[in-house]
Amino acid sequence: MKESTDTRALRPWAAGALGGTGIILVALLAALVASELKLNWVERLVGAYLVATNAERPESGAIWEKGRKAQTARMAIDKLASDREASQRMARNAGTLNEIVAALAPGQGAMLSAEHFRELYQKIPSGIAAEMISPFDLLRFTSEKRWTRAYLEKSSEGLTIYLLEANNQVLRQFRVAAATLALMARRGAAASQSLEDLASFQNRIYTAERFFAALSALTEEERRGLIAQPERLLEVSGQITRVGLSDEALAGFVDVGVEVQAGSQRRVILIQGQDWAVWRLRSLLEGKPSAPRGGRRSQEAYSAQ
Amino acid sequence: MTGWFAWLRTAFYAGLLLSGLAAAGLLIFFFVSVQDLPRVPDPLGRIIETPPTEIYAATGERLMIIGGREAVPLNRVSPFFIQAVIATEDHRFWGHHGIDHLRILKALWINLFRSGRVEGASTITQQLAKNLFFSFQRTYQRKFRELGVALQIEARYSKNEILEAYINQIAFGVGAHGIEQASRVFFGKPALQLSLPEAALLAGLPKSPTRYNPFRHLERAWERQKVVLARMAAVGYISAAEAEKAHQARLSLRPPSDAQPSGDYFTDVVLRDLEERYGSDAVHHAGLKVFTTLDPQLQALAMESVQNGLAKLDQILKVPAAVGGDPGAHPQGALVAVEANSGAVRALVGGRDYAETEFNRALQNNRQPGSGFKPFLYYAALEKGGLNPAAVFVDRKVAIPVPGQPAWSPRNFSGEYEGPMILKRALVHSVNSIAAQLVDRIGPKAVIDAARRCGIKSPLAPVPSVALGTSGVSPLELAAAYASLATGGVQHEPFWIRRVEDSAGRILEERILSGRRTLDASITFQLVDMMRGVLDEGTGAVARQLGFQLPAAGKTGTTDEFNDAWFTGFTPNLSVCVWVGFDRATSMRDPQGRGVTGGRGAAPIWAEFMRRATEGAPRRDFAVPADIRFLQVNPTNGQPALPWGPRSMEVALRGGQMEAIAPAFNGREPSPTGGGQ
Repeated sequence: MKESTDTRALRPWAAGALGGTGIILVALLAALVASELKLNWVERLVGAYLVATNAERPESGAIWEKGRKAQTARMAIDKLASDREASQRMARNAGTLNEIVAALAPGQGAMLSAEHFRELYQKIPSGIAAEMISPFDLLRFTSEKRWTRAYLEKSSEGLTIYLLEANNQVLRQFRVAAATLALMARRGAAASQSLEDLASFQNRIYTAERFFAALSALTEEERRGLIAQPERLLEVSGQITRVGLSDEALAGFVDVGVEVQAGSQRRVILIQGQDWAVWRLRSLLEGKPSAPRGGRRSQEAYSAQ
Repeated sequence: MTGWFAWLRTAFYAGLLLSGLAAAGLLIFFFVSVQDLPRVPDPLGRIIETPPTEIYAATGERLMIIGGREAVPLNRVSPFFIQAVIATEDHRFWGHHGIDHLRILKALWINLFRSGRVEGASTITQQLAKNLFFSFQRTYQRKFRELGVALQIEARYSKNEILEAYINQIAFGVGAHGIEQASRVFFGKPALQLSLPEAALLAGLPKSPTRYNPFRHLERAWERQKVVLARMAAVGYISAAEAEKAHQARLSLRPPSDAQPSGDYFTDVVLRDLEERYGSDAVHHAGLKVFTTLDPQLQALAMESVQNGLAKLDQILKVPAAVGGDPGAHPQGALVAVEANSGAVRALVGGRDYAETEFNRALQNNRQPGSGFKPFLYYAALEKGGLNPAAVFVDRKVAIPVPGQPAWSPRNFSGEYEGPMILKRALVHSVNSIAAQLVDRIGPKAVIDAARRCGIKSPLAPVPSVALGTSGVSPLELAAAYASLATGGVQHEPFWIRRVEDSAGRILEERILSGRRTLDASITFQLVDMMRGVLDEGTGAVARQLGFQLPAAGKTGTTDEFNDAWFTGFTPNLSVCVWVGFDRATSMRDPQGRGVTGGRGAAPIWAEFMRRATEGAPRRDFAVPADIRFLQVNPTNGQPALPWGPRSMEVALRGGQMEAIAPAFNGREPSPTGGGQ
């Protein structure tokens, strides 16, 4: 009897809870769950939303991190390769050894063909060139056909040159000191408009007439020692008016300044004479030898006279 | 009763309200959380495009690929593998939309009600999302984020695109990423040609690549394959009979030594060097092409020679076979072969088995070289001491005073003293008492100087015993230093990288093969001539007995208590150093108590390697400098040998030495071919 009373009491509640709003809510919930299980609409909605907002989200996570590392690494490697290619390109187009040296950073190198290196070698003053490597050795390497390339490596001390076989085996290596490179760099440069502009020439400036008179008194060997390649001076347009001799010696060479007048234009061309030949000329020009200011070798040469 | 109903009614509505609030909270949480979800790249294939770094041998053969992925489209992959992966990892892959509801419920049930069991419910898409973007840390937040990305991937890409990305990035172990690489590493064939048993084996690996590595745990891998085949049968891709047949089929795994994607001692050295020069990221992600000096044929011979030699040593020492797994329980070995006239490393073995231990004994193991260091002493004695190979010293007990320490009294290996003998004989028979007298005469600094000029870089203690090799050096150093003797005194730095290019083939660096003369050619030749005697009639004669007959020179080395045994020798072209010993300083003695010397333990390995490496090579003698003359002398008094006297010994003498020893003799001039013997 009590059971029946309870059942009667439940009915109004059930009618209230499950009927009307309650039933609608429960049915709605059940429909939502069933449709989700069947149609995956939550996943689709969320996925679609995330696809739509993808571009606004950060490039984070393992794969992006790896991508960034790869990109940074590739950029670094690309720079290395580009730098090397640039120095190679510059080396291929270089007209003188000094152009190559100027373009290389310490530690950097450039590879040249054997033919190109021979061309550059011929442009170096013969005295300096012979000190680097004997032309007869180059002739031998060329005739043996083993020498294919030359690798030039710049360092703070100067330039190391490797003559290489096809498999990169070194046939000969030699070093060109920084001082020698500096000397070569000055050769042939139009240094200034007037000899008076150059401090080291102040004390020894001679007219062309006097200079060539003294030059003609030298032996052929002395003249070659002073001006290794006179034909280069012949190529210069204009008239030589004055010649200056530097007080300073560097790596066994002394600067000789040749002042040239072409119309209203005046300029000084620098060449390097071997120190012993310059002092021989000076003794003729001045009647007595005078000691140069720098260079151990220069001092020795002076004493020997 | 009415109160109870009222409570139920309240609870019902409260539950609805709470559910609503939870849903709203979840929605807010979702919008906040997805703000910093990782962006998914488009197209998905882009994420697996990384150019690999490739390492090549001197012969052009590719030795190793690092990084990069060999991505293949689905139609280039065996259908068996695709079925096996789907059956094992996510069999409702084609039907779900990123989440497998039923699997989640099942996993929940198991995780909650079956203690001790953990069931995962990640779909292939979720695994792909995790592998690409997230760490392997197990947190609810990571799981939620992973789910979000998986839903996005499902919404944006087709099932085929997702599956293709997945199979091209999963890790199979031993350095293999992606199915194409795995297929080539384990079976030496493209992924398209995988058979059902092979595909099932590979599909089982990603669960635990190390645990199921078939190269090392074939039985486990085979059991795992059975599970995969059973899943395929359960899903309906194959019948139970086909599964059983496939499980019983014999698998043709590629030999691990051929695969070696995870490296070897040589490529390890190359990688370390590259990382120092270009950085780790460049090596792994920038797609370098690295051309090395390795000769694969020599490398294979070196590996075989070391393994054969160590197997014999195991027998001599009676090392039990059951100690496998502990690399320190077996004697180990190292071999380095250096091209004499360039310094190029042509072969390098750093231990018995790289898979067992990656410690590279060829480079990292600085052990005492013993008498293997004597050539530097003898060079210094000939150069600084004004001596010649025929100079006579007395083999006797010596006590060399050492400031602040007890006198140094090295004993001969035999424990006996033979009295007077010439220097060449003393080196050939590795007489310690005479070596001690030499270092006493010229000083340890002269010995160190000679070693440095040959390229030894390890720290060397300036004490008399340095002459008997008490300072540690590596086999690489010793091989390269002896190469300086092979070239007549021109030292080359050892190297292994010839050229490096970027992915476009632009050269980043190339090696210039330059050497510098650091030793006098004539004195070096005298030393080489003395060292020829070591092979021909001295402590290294076993090399000749084992069939190596080309002109060569060398020196044995054995340390106290037989902890280390060395043999380093060279022809004019190739310098090779062999070391054997235990990783932990342990004496190498046979059960009879006889110790393993350099001649017994290392020289046979050297001889086997050299004999096979130079097979068919033309005979080439060491070049003889113009001022060298040869003279047969009495090995005990150094006087010119008499026809009726004891067995003579030929010595090489340089300018002026002949006149001092035997004014009446002119000696034998070098032959036109340069032959010294």
